[in-house]
Amino acid sequence: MILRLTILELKKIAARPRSYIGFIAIGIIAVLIQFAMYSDGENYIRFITQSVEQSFLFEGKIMNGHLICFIILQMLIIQVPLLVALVTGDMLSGEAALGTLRFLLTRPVSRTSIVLSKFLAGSFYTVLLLVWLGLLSLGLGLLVFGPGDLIVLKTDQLIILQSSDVFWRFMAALAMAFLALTLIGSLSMMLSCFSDNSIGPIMSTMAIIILFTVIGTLEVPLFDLIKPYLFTTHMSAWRSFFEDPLPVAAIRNSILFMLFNIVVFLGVTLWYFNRKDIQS
Amino acid sequence: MIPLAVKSLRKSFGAFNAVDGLSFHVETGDIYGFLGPNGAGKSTTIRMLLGLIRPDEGDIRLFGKSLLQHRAECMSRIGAIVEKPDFYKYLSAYDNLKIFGTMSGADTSSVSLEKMLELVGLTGRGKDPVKNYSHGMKQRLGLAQALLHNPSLIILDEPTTGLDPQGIIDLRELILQLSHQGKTVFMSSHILSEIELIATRMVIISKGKAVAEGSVQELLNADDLVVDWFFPDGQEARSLFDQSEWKERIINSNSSAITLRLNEQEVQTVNNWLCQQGVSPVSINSRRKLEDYFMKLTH
Repeated sequence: MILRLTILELKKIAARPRSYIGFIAIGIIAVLIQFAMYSDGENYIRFITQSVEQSFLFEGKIMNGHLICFIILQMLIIQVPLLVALVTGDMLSGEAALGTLRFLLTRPVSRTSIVLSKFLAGSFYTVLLLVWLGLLSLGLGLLVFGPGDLIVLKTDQLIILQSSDVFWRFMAALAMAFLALTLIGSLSMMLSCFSDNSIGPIMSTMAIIILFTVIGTLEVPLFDLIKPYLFTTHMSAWRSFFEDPLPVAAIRNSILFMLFNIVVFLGVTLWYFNRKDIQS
Repeated sequence: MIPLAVKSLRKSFGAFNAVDGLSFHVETGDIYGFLGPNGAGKSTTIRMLLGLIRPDEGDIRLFGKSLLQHRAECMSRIGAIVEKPDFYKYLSAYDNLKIFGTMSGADTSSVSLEKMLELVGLTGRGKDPVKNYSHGMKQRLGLAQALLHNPSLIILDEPTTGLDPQGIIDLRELILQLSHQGKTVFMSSHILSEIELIATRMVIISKGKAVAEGSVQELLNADDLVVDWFFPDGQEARSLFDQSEWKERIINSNSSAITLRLNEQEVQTVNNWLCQQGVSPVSINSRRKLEDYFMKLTH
């Protein structure tokens, strides 16, 4: 039954114009970045490598599809959660606002099945967004700029990854991004079950992401204590796949932390929604 | 098996008692009227019957089974419209019916959907997006989604709201047709005449409590009337009545009118008696006791 319900939810997502905002936004941004890099990429590369140019001599094609993909991922991975929340934050509250929740919940289907099917549909939507992001960043990047070694510049480190060693890292990073976005999906769905209007949960999710990101960025000793417990800290763990050697323990911690958050948010949603009086 | 039995149902929202110890039962084949003024607790009760709102106390049994313990099984035998029918505006009527039908395990083939739309008077409008539907059309579509899985009990919350006169007549005919097919219909309204026309039994609720329950024939007994006689001089008429056998039947009087509780035959007798006494009423207005009572509740 859950599979059938999930398909119905996907049909609803597909029929709503709002669902395509994310695809359009990613499409425009990814293509714009690639166009900008194609026309003025050399200057950009010179700018970001100027601090290490005195120590290193760069040879070969630095500006390649892999680097373009990495740049796009870095720029978009913060915005994509907002695009996911636009759909998942509306899944329960949107039905309440529309008045269709009454009809849904008078079917011979449990509320748990309804929540789970919406969560699965939201996760599938997230996969599609990431596939789209991957195609436009990596696929189009390779097509326009061709392959090459990936240079990752960190504050205290310069990592050069062989071209043949990069593809799996992108796939792993996208999988990690999926986990992070699923977390956002479960958070926004939880907020969605508390509300009967569409905008509230979406705005609340965005506010939480922004707040946590700001706390995570500020160099305040007090905040350092709570940073490991903010899910936004772990959402950027995809970057760890571009380190050498791979920080396996940190990656595992982030995966477990994000899974734990997903389970908690989904658990709260199920607990609350199963007891909620539907008055909308 | 009794399709619906409600016992000592209670629901409060904060300090407000929306439903306060409500009990009634609906028999198979009934067209059961659920009557009450706005704010009496009808919608809250219907939401509890459908598992949308959890009662604070009381028991709801559908087809002999507890709603709380066998919700899915109970719901598979119920079709309902709760308040105004709302649909996915961005989808067509077909797609909306497919979603709700699939969830209820109904046959959602094009033939079946078209047949259902024909039944509710929406032939040829299935592919139109619901956003282009009028309120009356949505009400009809609401009926279609309620009937799609061939339920035994149909719960309709104010189903005539927004329908034009022809739509109301069509709905009445459809409800009677469903009743002839052996289905049980539970329908709420705040308009007595609407229920009176088709219901077999009914309950009247006020402030969350049942104030009258029984067969419509019993409750709307034509033999029990409240009659107003209007006179040019009400005082003179009142002194006449005070000396007559009708004295005990007087409910109310003022300078121009006297109100009595009588049966249908007695109205003519009193009128003849008044003429014999040389007092001619200006006009007579009669209504049933329940109607009078219901008007007191609603005004």
